Amino acid sequence: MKRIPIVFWLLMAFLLFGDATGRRAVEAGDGRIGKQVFIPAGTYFVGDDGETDNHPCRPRRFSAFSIDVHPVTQAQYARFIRESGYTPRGNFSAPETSEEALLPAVNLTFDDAVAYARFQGRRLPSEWEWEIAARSLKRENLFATRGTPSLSNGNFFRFKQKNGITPVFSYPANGLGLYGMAGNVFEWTASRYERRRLRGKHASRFRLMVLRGGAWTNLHQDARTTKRTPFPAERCLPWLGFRCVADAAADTGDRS
Amino acid sequence: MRAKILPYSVLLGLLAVALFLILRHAAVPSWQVEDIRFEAQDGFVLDAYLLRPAHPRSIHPGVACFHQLWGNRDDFWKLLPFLAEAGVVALVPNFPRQQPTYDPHRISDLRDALDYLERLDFVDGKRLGIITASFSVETGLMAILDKPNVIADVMISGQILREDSRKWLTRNSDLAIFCISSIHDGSHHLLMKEYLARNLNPLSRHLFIDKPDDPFSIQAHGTFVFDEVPRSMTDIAAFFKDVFALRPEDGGRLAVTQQENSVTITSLDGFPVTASFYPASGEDGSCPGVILYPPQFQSRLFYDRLAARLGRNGISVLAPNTKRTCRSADKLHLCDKEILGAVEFLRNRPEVDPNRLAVVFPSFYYLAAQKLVTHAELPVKLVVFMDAGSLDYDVNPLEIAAKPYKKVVLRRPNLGKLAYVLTEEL
Repeated sequence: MKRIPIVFWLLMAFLLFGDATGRRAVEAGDGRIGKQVFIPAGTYFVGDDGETDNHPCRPRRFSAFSIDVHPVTQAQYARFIRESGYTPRGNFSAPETSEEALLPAVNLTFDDAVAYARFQGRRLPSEWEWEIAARSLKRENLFATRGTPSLSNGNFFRFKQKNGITPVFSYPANGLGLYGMAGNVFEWTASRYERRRLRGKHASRFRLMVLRGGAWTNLHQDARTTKRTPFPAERCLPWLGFRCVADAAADTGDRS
Repeated sequence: MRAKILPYSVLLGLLAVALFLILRHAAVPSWQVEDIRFEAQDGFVLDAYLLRPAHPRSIHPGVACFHQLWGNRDDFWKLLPFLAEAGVVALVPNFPRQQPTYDPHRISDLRDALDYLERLDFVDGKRLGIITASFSVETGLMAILDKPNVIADVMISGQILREDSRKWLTRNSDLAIFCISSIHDGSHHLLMKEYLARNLNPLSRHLFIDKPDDPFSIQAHGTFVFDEVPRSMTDIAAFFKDVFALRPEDGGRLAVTQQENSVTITSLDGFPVTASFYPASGEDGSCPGVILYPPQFQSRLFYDRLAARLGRNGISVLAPNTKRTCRSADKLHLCDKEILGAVEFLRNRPEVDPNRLAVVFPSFYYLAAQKLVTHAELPVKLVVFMDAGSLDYDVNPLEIAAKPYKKVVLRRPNLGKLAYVLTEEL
């Protein structure tokens, strides 16, 4: 008889915290969650002679930084909201199942992404940091995928098929061990898109940031690491996420 | 005295009114459609309509109209009076090389058309625009990537897949880009939403929305919207007036609204179909008649010379366009109702002998032809299958049981041989 209250409270605890525990289990169960890759200081190539707004291919000096191996997941962003009390300006909705927990966090504005990064003591990558990481620090890597981009090595647009975002580890990582650097979701960067490239009297109304990486809405042929996509900071999309970087390699996982 | 003056006063008044009406008509500049040809950079000749003021007194903005994949320049015919009224010069070419392949001509032909338009004396090279539909929405955007003088783009239900095209929409944020409707197919629908989501343009707008909370509520695809939502043409004209800052006096009236030899025939389901008709001279009911369908990516004009030759041989020719080949619902059966409507048109012509009719089917029409011939639904004497080297839906005309018809199969579009066969058999 004495056991009845204990069972009751255990049941209540499961009902209240079971889902979150499950999500944490999903995260904890995958050793890649929350890892970063260290990028040593150095000179690396960015750009490509064929790009209209990112040419020529040129060397650029970088300080050391570490970058997340995957885009921020829905579970990570939901935990940030719980812990910080932050209210996103975008249409982010918390994951409801353990399957959704590993999807990239999307429908977030640029400020939503920055808020998360600051809370973690980190920041968004500049577009150039993002680019050298995507091309695995190598000049010749115009694609972030292993080999030529195709529907088997990235989440790209599929004709006449069900399309949508996929969990962050669904496709192979690039040479540095970074996942989702081509396809699935675009990623916010901290870089502004040059206003001089815009036409129209209303262009100055917008704060245009550079997105990188391409999403499942893109053709795989367009998944070049050098592609720059302007997008207004105040808007969000269901195929636009982000990842973070840190200046110092305080707690790195893999080392390149 | 008063009685004498009154009739003169009335007469004078009437004269004044008549003069006013005449002068008012004279004040509205007349516009015309010319049938022109121009060369692409590689020397390939493109047929086009050129809508222009009959006597240009100033420069006008110019718009190039890019037809949809299985369309042709006639798709835009209905729109031209509205563009004339707005004061917009329009170049409307046939693009037979516009194919869903990576053939570079599918883009370069569009660029060449814009270059031609820009070179015209009466066109303001700083105020150019394009109108695109379906497949040409994407190719049109690719064609204007490096053309900063193209400042307006009307997109009629097409998908945008290339990242460069999407970027153009964002970077040219105020250039009055807008789309009209979407294909009701899951993925295309979403892509339309995507480029709307990325589009910064405060001038951009959706037209023809049936339900305000559903921007994709129009079912008509591509230039079908002109037939099914006539208001679309007024809206497009108003859009260009707005973007090009046109005044009422810039526009004019298009005097001719029907091309020479053009007729509108009616499909069995009531759908209007533009066709060229060349009646042969002869006694009532004495002339044979032939219906010539164009090969894929060609228009009824493909048969202009052949029609003249057949006319000399006393054969009436009807060369219809058909747009129904690009409707997903009709794709399998193609346009059998249009074919039957065309036959009906020819049978009712007084000079045509209804017992001596023929239909020519290029391979693009094989599926519809197979259906009609196998079920003996066509009231004609002769059917000609002509392999034009394009989509034939895996139908082998040699295997089609053609009773009660006389069947001829041509292995390639040899128009000389076709003329010989038709003349001999009819």
